[in-house]
Amino acid sequence: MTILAILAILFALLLIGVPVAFALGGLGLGMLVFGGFSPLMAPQSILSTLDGFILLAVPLFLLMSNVLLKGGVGRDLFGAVQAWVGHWPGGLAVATILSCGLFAAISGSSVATAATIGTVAIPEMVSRGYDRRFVYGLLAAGGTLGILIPPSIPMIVFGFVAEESVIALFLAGIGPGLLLVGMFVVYSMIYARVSDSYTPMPKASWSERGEASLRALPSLALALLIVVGLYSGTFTPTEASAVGFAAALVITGLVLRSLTWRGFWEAVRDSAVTTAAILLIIAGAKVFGKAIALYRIPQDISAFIAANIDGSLTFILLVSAVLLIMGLVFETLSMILIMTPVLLPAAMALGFDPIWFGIFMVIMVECALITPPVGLNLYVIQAVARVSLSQVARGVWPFLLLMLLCVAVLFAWPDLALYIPFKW
Amino acid sequence: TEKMRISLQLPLKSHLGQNLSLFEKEVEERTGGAIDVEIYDSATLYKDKEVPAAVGSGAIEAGVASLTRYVGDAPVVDVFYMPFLLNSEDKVRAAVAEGSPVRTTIEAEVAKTGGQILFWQAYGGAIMLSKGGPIKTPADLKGKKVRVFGKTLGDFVTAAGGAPTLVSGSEQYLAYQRGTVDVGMTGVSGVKSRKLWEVMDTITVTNHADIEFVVVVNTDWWNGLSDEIRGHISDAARVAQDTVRDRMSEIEAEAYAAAKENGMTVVELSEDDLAQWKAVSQPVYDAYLASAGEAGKTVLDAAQQ
Amino acid sequence: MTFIVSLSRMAGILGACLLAATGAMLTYEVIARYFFLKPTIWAAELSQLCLIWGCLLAMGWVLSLRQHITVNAVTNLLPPAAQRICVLLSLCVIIAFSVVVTIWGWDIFHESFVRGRTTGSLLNLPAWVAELSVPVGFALLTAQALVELIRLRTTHVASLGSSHE
Ligand code: NA
Ligand code: NA
Repeated sequence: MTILAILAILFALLLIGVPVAFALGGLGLGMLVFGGFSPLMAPQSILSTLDGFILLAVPLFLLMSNVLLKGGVGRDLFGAVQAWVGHWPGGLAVATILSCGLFAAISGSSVATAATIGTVAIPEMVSRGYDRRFVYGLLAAGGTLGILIPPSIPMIVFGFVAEESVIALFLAGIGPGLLLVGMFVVYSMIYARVSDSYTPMPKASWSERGEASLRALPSLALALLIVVGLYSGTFTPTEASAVGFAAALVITGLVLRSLTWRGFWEAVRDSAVTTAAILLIIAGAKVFGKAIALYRIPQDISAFIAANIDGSLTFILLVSAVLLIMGLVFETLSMILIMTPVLLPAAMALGFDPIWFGIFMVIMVECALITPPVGLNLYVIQAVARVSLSQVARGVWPFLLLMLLCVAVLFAWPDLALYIPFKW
Repeated sequence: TEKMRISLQLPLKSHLGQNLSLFEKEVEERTGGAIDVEIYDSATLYKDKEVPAAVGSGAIEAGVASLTRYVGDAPVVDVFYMPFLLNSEDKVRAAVAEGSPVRTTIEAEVAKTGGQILFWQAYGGAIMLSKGGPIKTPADLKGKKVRVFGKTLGDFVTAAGGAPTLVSGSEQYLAYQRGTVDVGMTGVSGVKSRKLWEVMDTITVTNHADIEFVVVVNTDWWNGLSDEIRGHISDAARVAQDTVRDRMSEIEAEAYAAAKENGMTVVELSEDDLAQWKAVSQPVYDAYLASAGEAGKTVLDAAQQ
Repeated sequence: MTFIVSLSRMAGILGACLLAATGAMLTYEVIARYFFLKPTIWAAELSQLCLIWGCLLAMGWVLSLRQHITVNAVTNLLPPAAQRICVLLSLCVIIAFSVVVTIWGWDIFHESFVRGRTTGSLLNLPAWVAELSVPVGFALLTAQALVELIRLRTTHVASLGSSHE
């Protein structure tokens, strides 16, 4: 009963438009005061949240990808990939997905990935006669790779709340990320065979390829530096983000000379705004998390699940359904922050690996990013392409199915995620 | 009934958690249910490092913290981290015995935070982990990146010629596996619980520091209880405290056995090795005396006897 | 009112600079560790301090920019009068939360300051250096939220935030 009342108030606060951070923090604080606990817990939780070293990676990964964005790296990446695969059947679509995958390796955010690649790929694909619905769906879905292929801000947040290794999460995202890229590519090629509405690209000459690749090379080197640095243990995630930011400045400022002072300041400003918004939500969720822990809610839900759900398949089906429905209206971080403390103990009791569960959660929130009415990637593509939300939303469902298929593969074969961090 | 909520960083199934459950049972029996103990394990309420402030301010009645978490309020507590000072069970037992100068001084200093120590929970000695050979002398540490947890241990590693790196418990496994640090440092029970034998092959039984946890209660809350209840809680605390200290040597022995079973080499220090370590450690003692002042000198003199 | 708005903005810009500075410090740390095998004792802690101060200083500015993350799915469908009520209620929640956090946050700072508590970490800074950021940041946020509340009488605001990542 208490659980339902608390959920009802939380949803009411969120839906009347109280910023997520204050809805969570305010309700948590109210529950503490109402339950006779000290309000001191609120400022203490905020301080202890911001005192997490791993969260320093949030502003720095944002700075890295914003600097690259202002430096026009998206265009260079897309240009290079297009020169190599543009003439394939559905070549532009393939180039788009591969560019999303590459950009994902230097950005921790799916919105940034969708916006960066979308800005260059959408006009190109539409002018070549690709079906618009397919184009919008492709970009919205391709953008979600940004949080599955490391680095990933939602993974940092999951690692922070679950007290699990962020490096392990990053490495565990690579396998499913590559699978998803593969599935999107294959789907695009099949789609291209069936529909013949588009004009194929001419094959680029070797000199064109060389030139385009040369320009994209520094960014590719940066992506490689980050992944290899994390894999080899040279960097912690926080250090990787700092080095990535510094390298992004060198690449765009000194090598490509495409970053202006104005662009630099905008990158700094945008990153700060997003960082403050994100970290404040985490702090609010921490206050809320403590309040529900004092009311013993996660413990009760875990016990309920343990008593009523037998078998990991039932559990995952149920959780997937809950997350899909919740994902209709919630955004990424709120979902991770609200659901992780509630679901993870139950999942671990059923024998799931916490890292595996983190990757599962990330793919599920990726789905939330492209389901209407609230899906950030839909909004981004809508803004970039200047079309209505429903036009974008109609194109995403094949990709949504592919993502759910990826979850199924991940369930059947957990090593898809766990092999790279733990067995390689 | 009066609630006594206790915050614990570790899961309930850890040995500190089990000890806290024993304390819960003892208190509830002795007080006839007048005190209702609730344990919030796995850091659901507070992380270890937040416990001193949370208990001191009265945000929660009680909590378990590593003693070193009080170093900011009471630098004197890090006498347990003075290199090779309390490196045998006998020396530790003498230091933590009730009424000993070490314990009395530390408890008086901690009490200034608004929270006071109810009882001590033994956690065992700190050891070093490595790959491809032991860390027998400071020469083996020279130029190596070493995981530490806290300032005093960092000072020690620096004094021995290594590079201290703060790595959290949850990142430990991968930091060793990936070589982010070359040398590990932990209590030996951590080797077993985190399966660190998968990533390191040698344990050097340095016992260069002794890890103690303390259960602290908010002073105002404590003083608000009746004498009778306080007596019952103190009795329960003593039972829990003695149990965990007696059990600790078994736990350590089990952990060493498990480590060996899983292929680790366990290396002890010789007298000569120990002398070399002690020779490089003096700066750590000097820094301790400088920051802990008069109380530090009292405690150090008592511990050295 | 304009004073508070420009104060929020200046605090926000300062916060942004602090966040960017963490990049320089941590990059230096990596270089120091790998090339000179001499990790700094200050980089990690000072950048953590920059993160704390940077985020909390920027909160009020972020509110004025309407950039706090918000679920707008329902409010977007409402008529302007209902939107106004929602914004009013939301501001009240923000103000109530911020006032409580400011007051109790000040207590935390004050106690550490009086006691001379230190962090006990490698750098061993006074604990209040970080703790002061909570009352300062939330006082700024309270002030900015009050400004928004007063402005609500004359200007229409559909929502306090946006959805972004
Ligand atoms: Na990414
Ligand atoms: Na959605």
